[in-house]
Amino acid sequence: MLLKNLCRGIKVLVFLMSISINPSIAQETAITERTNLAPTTESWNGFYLKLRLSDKWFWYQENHYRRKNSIDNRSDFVGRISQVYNRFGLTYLIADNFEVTFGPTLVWNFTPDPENPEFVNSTLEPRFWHQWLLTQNVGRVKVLHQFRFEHRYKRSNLIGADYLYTNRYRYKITAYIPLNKPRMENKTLFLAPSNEIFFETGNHILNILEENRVYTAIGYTHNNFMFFGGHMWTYGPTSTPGTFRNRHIIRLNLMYTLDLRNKRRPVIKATDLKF
Amino acid sequence: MKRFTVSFLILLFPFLLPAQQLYSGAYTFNGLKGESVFEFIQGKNEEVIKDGNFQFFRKQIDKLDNTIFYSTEIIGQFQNNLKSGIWEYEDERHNVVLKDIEDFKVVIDLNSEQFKLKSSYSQGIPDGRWAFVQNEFSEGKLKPKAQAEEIRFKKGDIVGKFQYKEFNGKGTHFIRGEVLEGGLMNGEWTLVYEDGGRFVSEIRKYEKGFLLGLVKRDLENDSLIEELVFFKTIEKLQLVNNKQNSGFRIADEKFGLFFNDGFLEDYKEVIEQNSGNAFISSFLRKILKFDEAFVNAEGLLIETPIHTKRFVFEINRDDQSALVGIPLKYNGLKEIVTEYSEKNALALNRFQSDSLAKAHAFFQLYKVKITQLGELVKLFDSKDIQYFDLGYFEERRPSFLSDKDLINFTFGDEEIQKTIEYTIDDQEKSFFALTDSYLDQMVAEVERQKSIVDFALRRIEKNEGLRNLEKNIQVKKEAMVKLYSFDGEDGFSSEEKSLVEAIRVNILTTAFNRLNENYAKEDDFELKNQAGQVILDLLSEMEIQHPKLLKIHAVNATLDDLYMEEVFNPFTYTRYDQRVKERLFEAGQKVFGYYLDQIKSEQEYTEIKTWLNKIEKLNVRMLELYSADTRRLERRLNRRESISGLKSLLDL
Repeated sequence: MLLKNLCRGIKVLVFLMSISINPSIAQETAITERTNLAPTTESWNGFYLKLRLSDKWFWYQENHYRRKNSIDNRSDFVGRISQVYNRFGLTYLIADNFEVTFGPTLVWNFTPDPENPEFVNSTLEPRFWHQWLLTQNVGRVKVLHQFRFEHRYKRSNLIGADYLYTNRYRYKITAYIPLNKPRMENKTLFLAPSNEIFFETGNHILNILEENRVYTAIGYTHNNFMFFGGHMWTYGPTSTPGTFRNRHIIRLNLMYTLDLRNKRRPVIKATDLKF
Repeated sequence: MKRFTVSFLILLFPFLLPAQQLYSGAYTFNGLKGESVFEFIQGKNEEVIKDGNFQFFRKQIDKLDNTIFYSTEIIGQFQNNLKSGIWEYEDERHNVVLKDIEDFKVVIDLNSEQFKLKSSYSQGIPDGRWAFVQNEFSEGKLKPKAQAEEIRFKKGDIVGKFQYKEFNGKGTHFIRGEVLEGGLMNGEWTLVYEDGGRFVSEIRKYEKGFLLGLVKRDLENDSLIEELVFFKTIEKLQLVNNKQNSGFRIADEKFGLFFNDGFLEDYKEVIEQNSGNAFISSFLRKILKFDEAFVNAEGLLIETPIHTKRFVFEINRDDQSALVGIPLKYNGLKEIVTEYSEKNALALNRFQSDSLAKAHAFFQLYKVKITQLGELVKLFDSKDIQYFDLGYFEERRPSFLSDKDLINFTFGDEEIQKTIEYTIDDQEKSFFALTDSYLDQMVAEVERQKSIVDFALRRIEKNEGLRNLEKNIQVKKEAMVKLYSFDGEDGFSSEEKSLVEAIRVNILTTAFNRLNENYAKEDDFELKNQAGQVILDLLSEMEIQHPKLLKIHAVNATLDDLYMEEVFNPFTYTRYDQRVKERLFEAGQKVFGYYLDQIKSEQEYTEIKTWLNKIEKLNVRMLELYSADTRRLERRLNRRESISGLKSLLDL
């Protein structure tokens, strides 16, 4: 119920924003009603890696394998391969609650229709990205504010399609809510609702609102690992004004962190352990 | 002819005579340090042989009292290092006391003593006429103090009649007597001297060195002090004179001043000679103080120029063996008596029983008896007993050869007296045999008392030993029970309390009771003592291990802390403690838990230490593994692994 209301609220927000941002559209084309495309389903499986190189520097990496529903079955989540997504970066931890990251992303976008000879099997989408991430504690809950900026070159899979450049602006708010511990720590079961809104600009972009993603996940921390999974619902305009799409995505993520700094040195001596 | 030849050769070849040299310098004469000039010749190995004139001078202020001044002058001659010819001694002691200084003139009080001796020697021995005078100077006048004129020496002994006078306030003290050839005291000797505040006249009758009798009178009131006649001596002399002596004769040796025909120290015959002999000795010390052969450096008379004589008695063969045996027996007896009379354990425990009280008193009595017996035994040992007329002992048996001894002692509130009786068969046996037999009886009695003491003390020692042991056990047990209880104490965790409580039950109660039963069952002292020592060892061991037991959990907590590290989760942006090498740590904890359970259930006290050592070893190993690369090990560790398997994997 809560999810439904949330979706409805976001739809309204997006609609309002689309009208306010693009008054010309309203003026030029009299769109009297919104068209929501039938929802599609996808399955995103991601591996997140953060390696601590020093007290301040981290290596950041994401590798995703994304599939989407079949052409003839919108609800099978895994009918077609969608993307292979690789994000890399270097993170500098300014403080425990503030870090900046930058790096390249390489995404392979696969053909929407493997049978269709008009499509190339995959296209490469290179990006340069950077982000700020701030965290805050609200009681037991950890709230993350992620400001991500991407500069990408993307083309469709149609043979001969050109690369189009866009700048992307993303803001995600995430809440880590520990369920079995007083705070987020090791062996903690948690809920992690989040919402990410995407804005995009470019010469060919008519609507700067790209998408909104609502994600409700449940996760568990175990030593260096974090298991994360849940349902994400995306809603956003298509290239056709007034037409919106939405997707239900099942996400399964595995996070892994490793501290590559100096080996452990015990602070106690053998004599401390003798009677 | 020989002498002529030598003299002729010397005349012709004077270099044959050893050349005389002169010494002048520091010299010590009979302990007196001064200066000397004397002629000497050099003998073999550059030995100095005084030969010729000799002069000695001493001028010395007393080191402790500088008002006293000594002056000594000695002139004489040596011949081949021996005194020869006339020697003159002059020795003065002046006491100068400053009284005043008038018109720059010193007014002093001078008190002096002057000693002058003119003596004569031949070949180092007094020989010839001696004259002695002692003067006193006081109040400006020189007064005679003592004199002896016409003392004649012959070959080191005084001969002929002589007289010595001392002038004292009360009257003149003197010695007048006659000495035969060889220095033998003879005829009537008159001594006048002070003794115990009385002015005593003592007349002695000697015959060729034998004292026949003496009479002492108080000159102030003419009362008789003592009269002694040495009848047995007279009797023996008559027999000798009549050639009727049997078993004895006059000894060839000459003896000192003290005449002893067979008298012990406590005999009247000895006691009554002492005062007169002391007076004669003081006279002899004065005139012979410069002769080392007669007076030693301490001023003691070591040889006398006047002598007495004694009889020598035959000792038969049987008695001769007793002569050897008696001192040996005595020495053995003395050793035991000395040991037991000074035995602390006996003194301390004498009130434990009447037999010990008696034994203590016995040994104290025998200590005195042994000392008294010592004089007699000394005579046996030195063979001087041969000069003793044992008839005296037969008439007057020495007091220490009593036929019974009374032992008085206190036990409880009672004064008790016990008697030891000796069998003395003096009718048949000689004195030697009697003494030997008496000693045998003394030895038997001493052995008897000794064995009583030894047995009693050993038992007391054992009982006391066991009592002390039990007391120690009791004290230590109470202390350990208290130590292993908590009684409302806080600051200890429930785990620590549980561990200590388990030890208290298993070791301090169950194991202790088991050992206690063993102890109680034993009758034999040694085994009982051993069993008791084991109990003490248990308690001591638990005392030692107690602080270690309390540390077990604390140390484990340290290890727990070590195996937790703070991490920063870069996904959740939180810092928290996270277990390091979880599988390894869990394995270590499993083994630790096993060891702990073993300690808690252990009933053998010696094994507690073993388990503690194992825990220590485990902790150290876990510390080593913390820093090591344990990836392979952790992969092999399995939660289902047995304890022995885990121990093997952890290299314990």
